Amino acid sequence: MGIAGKVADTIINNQSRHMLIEASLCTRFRSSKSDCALCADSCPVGAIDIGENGAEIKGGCINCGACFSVCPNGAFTIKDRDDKTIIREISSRSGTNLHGTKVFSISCNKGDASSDLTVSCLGRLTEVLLLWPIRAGAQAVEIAQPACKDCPSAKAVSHLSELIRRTLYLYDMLGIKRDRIYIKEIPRRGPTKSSEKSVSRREFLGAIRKNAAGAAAAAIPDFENKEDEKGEDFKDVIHKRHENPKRALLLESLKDFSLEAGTLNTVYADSKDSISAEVEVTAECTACGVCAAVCPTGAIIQIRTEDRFSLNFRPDLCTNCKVCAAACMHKAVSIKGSALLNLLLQQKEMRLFEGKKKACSVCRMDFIDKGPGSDICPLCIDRHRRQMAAIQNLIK
Amino acid sequence: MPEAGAFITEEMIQASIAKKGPKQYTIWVDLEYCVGCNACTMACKAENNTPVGVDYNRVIEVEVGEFKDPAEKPGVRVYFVPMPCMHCGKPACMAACPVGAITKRKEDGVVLINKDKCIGCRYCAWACPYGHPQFNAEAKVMEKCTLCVHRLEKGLKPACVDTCIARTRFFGEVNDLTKLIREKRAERVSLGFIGGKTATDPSVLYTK
Repeated sequence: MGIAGKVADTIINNQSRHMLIEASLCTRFRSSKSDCALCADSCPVGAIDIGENGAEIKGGCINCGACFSVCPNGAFTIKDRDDKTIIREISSRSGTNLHGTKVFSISCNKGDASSDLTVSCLGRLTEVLLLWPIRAGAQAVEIAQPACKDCPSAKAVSHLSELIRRTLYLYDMLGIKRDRIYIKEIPRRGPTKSSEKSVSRREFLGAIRKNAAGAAAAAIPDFENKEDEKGEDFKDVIHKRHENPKRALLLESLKDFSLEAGTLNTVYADSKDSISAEVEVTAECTACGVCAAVCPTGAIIQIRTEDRFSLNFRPDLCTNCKVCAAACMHKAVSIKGSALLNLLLQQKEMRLFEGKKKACSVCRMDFIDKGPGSDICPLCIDRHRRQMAAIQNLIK
Repeated sequence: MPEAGAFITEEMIQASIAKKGPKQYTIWVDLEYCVGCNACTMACKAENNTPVGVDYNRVIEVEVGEFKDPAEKPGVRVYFVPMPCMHCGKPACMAACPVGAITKRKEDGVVLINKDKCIGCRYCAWACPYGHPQFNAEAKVMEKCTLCVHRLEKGLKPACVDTCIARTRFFGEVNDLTKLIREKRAERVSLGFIGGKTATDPSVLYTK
């Protein structure tokens, strides 16, 4: 990295980039068939741009964390106060006054400042953060929600009810009663109040400087990433897997919980509100390997041996992003209506599909051998038929 | 990005510029004069250095008609149909690609595969109504006719057009070619697109 790169890096990392993006975990980067726009839809200031390289942050990020919360694949990383830090905050409180008696309240900057946990925005909460207070010994989790619809960042909390529904399935599994989490509406401390607050000259100029640094950092191209892109082709990048940090933390926490809870309830989550999915592959599969290539978290694994092709599935890594089903041209991949959440705790590979494979004598690609047939793959046969049909149409 | 350069006559370019909408450079093949010598196939292979089994241009022989009565004139003939990429207006391959590796260039309408992005899944070959894209087993990527973009950038015509011994291939902007067909082949105006003007809007022109 040159001097310019170092300077840019310092500005970017120390001053103003609140969020970091790992593009290889973004479904929009991996597949043009993905129509996921969860982060851009939830960003209250419209700072996220989705293009060919996946989600990218433009200037103006207010560090609300909604994108981090909403992205199932953990493509976003919060720099200053990540989930691990907040979990430490929660467990440090548990030692003093939480045990068995208290309701653990969570609120945002514009809500109740005296709550046990204050986050930048309620849209920043994750499943893990709603589980930990219970683990720490609280009777219930109270989400003190100010009137979010009047807030300028209203978009950031639009997925809160969905998040709670997803978490409730985890509560069910761990045997925690559903009424131990609830939303309490509280009055909002309006923006007028805070803007009228008198600020010192120093604070005022400091705020301007901070914003200016943000705009400058957004204008500077990401030198480090550029170098990576040059060195590696897209197809090499997508065959490398990055761990989904969000899922890793959740699985770690769930494991601890399940050890404490002993027996777990069997819970099937509706695929609309599930944090995991059960994927099915039908006999239409042609061994193209696209589902395995586009899966951001490596939940679908293709195995090619000398004469067999198989697809394996890791339910604990699947985030229900549905990009596999969207990318499969032959409509062989589908998502089941409900998913067994208990599979999250078994880090076991399931067999999705297995077939005998053959190499086509024309194009030399693998194809699934369905019974005794020719040595030519269905594509080559179909291609020839289509070509002749087109010519017949031309010269008739 | 290269500019659409001076690879056809100056008047043609001026005429194209005057027209609104994106340009579409393409090939016109007059089947009446094609003798099936496969010089285009060989020129293409040499120019693009394609491996065995991958051809950006193939000439397919089709027999038509039936020889019924020996007393009458036999109503049979052979057509030699060269099949390059049709560089469609709405490419089915582009729509099918799961990783967005296929693009249609605005400045000249050439449909190209980005080999750095291609994962070799062959969805484009499944989708193409003309069965054009082919799998390069060594590089593990799909390949297709590029309309010799590397030559266009130098102001040259595609290799298949330059080499045609029967002078039955012509290259240019689609509207100019249509005009050229009207001028040169006024007596036979059965202007056809392969497979008819289908949903993918193919650009290569055929006359017979």
